[in-house]
Amino acid sequence: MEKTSKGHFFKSITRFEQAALVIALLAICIVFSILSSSFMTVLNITNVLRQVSLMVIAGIGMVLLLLLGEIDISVGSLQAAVGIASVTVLNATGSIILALLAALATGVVSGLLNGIIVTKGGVNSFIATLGTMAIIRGIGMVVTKAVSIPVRVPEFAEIGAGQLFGIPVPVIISAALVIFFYFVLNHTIFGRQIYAIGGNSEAAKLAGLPVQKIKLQVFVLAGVLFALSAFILASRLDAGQPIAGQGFEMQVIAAVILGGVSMSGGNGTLSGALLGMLILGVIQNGLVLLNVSSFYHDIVRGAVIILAVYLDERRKKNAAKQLLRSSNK
Amino acid sequence: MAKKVLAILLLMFFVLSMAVGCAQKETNQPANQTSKTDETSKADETAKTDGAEQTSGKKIKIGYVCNFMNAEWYQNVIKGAKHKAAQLGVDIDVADANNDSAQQVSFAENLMAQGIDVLALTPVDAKTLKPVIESAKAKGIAVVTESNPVGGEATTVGADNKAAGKMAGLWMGEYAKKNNMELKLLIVGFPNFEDCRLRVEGFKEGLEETGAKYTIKQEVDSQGLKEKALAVSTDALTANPDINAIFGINDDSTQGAIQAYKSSGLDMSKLVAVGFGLEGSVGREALLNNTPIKAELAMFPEYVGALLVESCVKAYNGEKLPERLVTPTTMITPDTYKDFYKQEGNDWMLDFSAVEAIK
Repeated sequence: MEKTSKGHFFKSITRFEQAALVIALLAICIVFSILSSSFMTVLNITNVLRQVSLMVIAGIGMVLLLLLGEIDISVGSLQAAVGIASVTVLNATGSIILALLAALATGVVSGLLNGIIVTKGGVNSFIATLGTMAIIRGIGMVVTKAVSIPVRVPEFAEIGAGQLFGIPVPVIISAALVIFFYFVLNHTIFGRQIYAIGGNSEAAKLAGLPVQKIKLQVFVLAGVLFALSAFILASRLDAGQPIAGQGFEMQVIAAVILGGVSMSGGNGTLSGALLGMLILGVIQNGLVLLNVSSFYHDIVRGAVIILAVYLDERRKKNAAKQLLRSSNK
Repeated sequence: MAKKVLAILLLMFFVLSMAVGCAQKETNQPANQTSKTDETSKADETAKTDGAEQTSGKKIKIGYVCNFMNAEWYQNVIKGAKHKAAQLGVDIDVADANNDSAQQVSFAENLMAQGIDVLALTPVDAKTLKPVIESAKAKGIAVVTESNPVGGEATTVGADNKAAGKMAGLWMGEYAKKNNMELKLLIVGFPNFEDCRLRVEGFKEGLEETGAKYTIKQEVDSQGLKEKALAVSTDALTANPDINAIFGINDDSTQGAIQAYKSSGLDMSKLVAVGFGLEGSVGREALLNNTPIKAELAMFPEYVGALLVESCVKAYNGEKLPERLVTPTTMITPDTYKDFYKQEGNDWMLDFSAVEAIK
């Protein structure tokens, strides 16, 4: 009797992905704080959160897409395009609001472009955004002649570097967005529709859901979120850089999948994704604090990505098994 | 309705891109196979007066396969190359390997098939280019490389990275001694690349030679990118908040680290930074706008490009060239920048004679 309850406990722990992630995050934090005295300091925690916050904002968009069973890998190129567009407008007008609008407009255009190719053109989203990734990066290079545009409005830096009540502005923005989208995903019809379509797009269609329309909307929404992270990145870099965001898409996708969001759609939570991003961010930060050679960073990052996909596969198998068992009952 | 909105947004986007594009006059296509120089017509005019180096009436055609045109450094190398080509009355075709050695090989082969007289290469990976040089030789096409030698080429044009790094190290050491400062250093490198490793090696050597008091607090890897430099330097500064000196292996590395210093809330007036490259506008802005960058090791990309074209013409004419043609480098401070670069409208042009004088 006791044995079974114990077994049950472990089973529920492993099935409850978040608990495993929380334990992993805590374990990593404990290890780093033992090895480095500067890890568990307010300054460092603030730094980690500020660095992760950009990934979190873009990550929300990626979670929405992955839940639908779609993906957008043009997010890295978009970081560059949005930075260029917003810094150009900023320098020309001196207005941060107009720069933000330029950023968001660029995000909307890119989201619409991706969304239309996928929904109307019927192109697989990985392939479609692989194409737009190259196009968007190319436009950025052509427009700037590969030269980054320096920011001429000093106040702009405050968005990335500024603080409110001791909390970095990007962290506040990302926290607010996480709370908002947590609510959207869990307590609105729109959120449930996303899960339904990702879980079984055919069934959702037969149930009368406007599948293509919702997909297009989410592509645009994700584009806006990607643009917002790019806007803050431009402020952090104090420039609109045509080479910004290279490899960013892989970081975001890896972190989100590590957080338990399935690549095949319908499965995953925003809180899990958030934990995945924190884990990657903390690992990266800790390795630099410990002065570990950057060559090892690549190995660790690669290992974490494989681990993430492995976990995803295993979870899918478990879910299938469970479904089979419950249907046999 | 949705279509209308899309049309308007697309229009906005393109207008915006064009506004930037126009400001920069000539656009290039980095991803394209070849981009024909638009200075050919100009070259025709100057050829009559300046084309003394040509032996026959035929116009020499140079094919240049750059390794990575998406960097401001190479934009300026090409700018210098085209400038010189126009002066000498030769044609130059530029292709971008985009950091892909296989692509570089096929572009080089294409150019040779199109009938060029000289092949110029900035190797992505020198080891992959031996066969290209062999087949060029077989066709009677002279080869000149930039930055890294392959072996078998007429000459290699480029800076001596170690010696240049040493200059930067000497400068920083002397600065520290003059200001009675104990240096606590952050080095922002790119250890994957030999050129960048040599810069750091030279820097350390120079610093040691001055006898200045210093400790290297941490060395981080920026991969030459500002974004990455910002992230890793922020972490390094958390571990070592007493860092007061920065050396970066290119303009973006140095500036990413300074940005990290700034956003960590540390006192900018206590920081001294020495940059490396002065690749173009990014380095210039930082040097001239009162940032912690007190000096930059200038590599003069325009001069490198010009010398590359000049050597190509010499190689075509069968002149004997040394194995390596070392391009001049020097330390530039905000006060001496204008000795080397002159403002022309929105742009700055290199004063080639000032660089010549360094040698």
